[in-house]
Amino acid sequence: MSGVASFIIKRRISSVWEWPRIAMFLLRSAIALFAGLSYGIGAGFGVDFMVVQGAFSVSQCILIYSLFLMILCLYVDIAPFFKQPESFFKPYHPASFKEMSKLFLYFSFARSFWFFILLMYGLTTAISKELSFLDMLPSFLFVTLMYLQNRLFRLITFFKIPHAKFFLVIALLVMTGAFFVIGEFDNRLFSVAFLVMMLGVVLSLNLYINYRKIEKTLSSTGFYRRGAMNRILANKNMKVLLAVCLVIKVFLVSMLLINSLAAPGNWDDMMWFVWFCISPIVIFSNVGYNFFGINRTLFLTHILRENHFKSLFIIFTKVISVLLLIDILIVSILVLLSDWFSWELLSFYLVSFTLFFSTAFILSLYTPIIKEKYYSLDFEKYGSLVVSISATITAFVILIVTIVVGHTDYFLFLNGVLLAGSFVLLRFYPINFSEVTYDFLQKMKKMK
Amino acid sequence: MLLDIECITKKKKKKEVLKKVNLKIEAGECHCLIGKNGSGKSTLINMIIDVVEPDEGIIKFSGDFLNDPASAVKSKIGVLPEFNPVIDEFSIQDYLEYVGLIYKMDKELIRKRSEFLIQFFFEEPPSSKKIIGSFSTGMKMKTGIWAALVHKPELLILDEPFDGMDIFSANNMVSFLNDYKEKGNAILVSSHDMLYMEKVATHVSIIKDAEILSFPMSYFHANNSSFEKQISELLGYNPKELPEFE
Repeated sequence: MSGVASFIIKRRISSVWEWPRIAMFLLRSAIALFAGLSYGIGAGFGVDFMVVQGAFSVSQCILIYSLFLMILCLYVDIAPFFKQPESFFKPYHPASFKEMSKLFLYFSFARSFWFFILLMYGLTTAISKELSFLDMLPSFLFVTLMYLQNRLFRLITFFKIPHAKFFLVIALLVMTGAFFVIGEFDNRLFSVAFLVMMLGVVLSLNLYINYRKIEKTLSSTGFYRRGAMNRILANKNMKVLLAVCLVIKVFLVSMLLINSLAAPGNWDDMMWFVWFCISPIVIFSNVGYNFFGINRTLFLTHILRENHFKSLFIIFTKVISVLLLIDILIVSILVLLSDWFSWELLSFYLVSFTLFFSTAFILSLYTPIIKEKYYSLDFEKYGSLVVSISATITAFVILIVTIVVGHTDYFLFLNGVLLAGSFVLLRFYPINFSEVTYDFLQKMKKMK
Repeated sequence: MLLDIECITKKKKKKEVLKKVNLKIEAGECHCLIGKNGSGKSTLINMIIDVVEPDEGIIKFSGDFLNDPASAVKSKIGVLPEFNPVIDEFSIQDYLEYVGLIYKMDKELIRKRSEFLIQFFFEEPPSSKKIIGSFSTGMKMKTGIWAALVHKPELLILDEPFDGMDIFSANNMVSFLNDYKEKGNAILVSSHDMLYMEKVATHVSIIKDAEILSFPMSYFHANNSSFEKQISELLGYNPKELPEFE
């Protein structure tokens, strides 16, 4: 079993370990990293300028920062669908309009794993202090911003748009510059002007990407299927996405760190938000779906030859372990550079990882992978749904426990209990892969 | 009895695709499954390989149920299903090694068999750096067949294996299948290609009106008319008068 896992890992590593590929990977990573850093640091400095100069509060900054992203999000996801739903689905996906609409609405919300951050932040804030709608709104918008950025990167890597990364870097630099200007001049007119400019740049990029998306959908029916197949394993998209995930993490970390150092105290009341940004879920929910979301071929390869998925689980474990190590490295740097370390934070990190890990694989098996060939256009959605559910479960388990106790001072203790509980459960009630696989196969057969 | 199918019934949208179908395959036999488009050939194969569940009836391999989670029956069967699940990113060599590892085969043995299969079926073996995703339909088909063969299964099931294959590869395939069955292995092939089916079959099973009719090849040899013509008649083919094509 481990032979299969080792094979797949080694092959993926060996495919990367060729100089032209390494060079390309480094180049892409560098570009993505640069974009992420410019975005993160720029945003961080921008917020910092505004806060320090007293022009805006942190919440107001986030509100401004994310307002245009909400519009973009609506644009990217909703507008093209209502404009040309037939172009998106009908030519080769024989699903009813009702079915398509349901899928669309379902996944537009479900795949946005960032919603769980909003939920956690909002609800925990509700527990800890009096909550107003205005407290919630900026977080909601920030969540939307993250979601859109994430989606934008995916679109770019998936559709291989010429010079897209260059455009993206330009867009992000413009945004960065805008924040500097807003901070420097403290002028609301400038703020509006630059926000409009930012909006224009990123909107144009999205417009172009979506135009290409529709064009490719119409011209090449096999593209998506081949694309989906190609994304089963740790392929080039996976590599790029990994870089993107790291960039998002670096962005969050850099933004939090700069503000923490420049304006200590301002973020104290948003510590929950900081914790969730640090959580490994941020990185896993980006990468995890790509590994387990679309692997119809991989599953079939195994289904035809064995009655369980233990070998797939081992592969999953290895990939997640490597990611965890990378994530730990990033978070360690953050913790060392800041004064944020606490046992509560550490326990939260471990709990969120454990819960995510223990739910993601099982949920992957119960996702209707086979059915996707009939009416799925966006192949990301099933896997993304899995990680969204997984992340939400994680978030809510923690949340419910916190609500029950009603006081966050018990958080460390509760996390300890959760961790111990998880280990005890896994020790004495190990997952029966034969049963899980059997159930999965039964479900799959009924869908045919 | 290697494969024993008893009273299999399958409905799709309230219509019976297969009705109380029986089929028995012994070692050393090659059964060719023939039927019109949509007659239920692939559905039957999907049920045999445990991807689709029958509404009624049982399927056993050497007395064991295929869908028993505790059984290892699947390791004795090699399958090329209707949907050929090759992993586009791998080279042929990598894909065969991956499949071999699922069967817990020794790496050296996998390498030897891979080399044999590639040498036998290809005029010019593809580079190990060329990925399956860049292959033609026929080459992908061959890769799928090799993946079904790499562990030397007792029962080989091939759904439309000649699709997209050139004449050289198809003839090589016929030679290989004949040799394989003579070594005591059983084969079940579904195809519309009468030319190659006639060359490999020991039995022919025709699916018509959701039922299956099985004949030994001697049945066809006893008649003077061609194999293709006899099959067409059994399927109920009536040549249509061609109207003027304006």
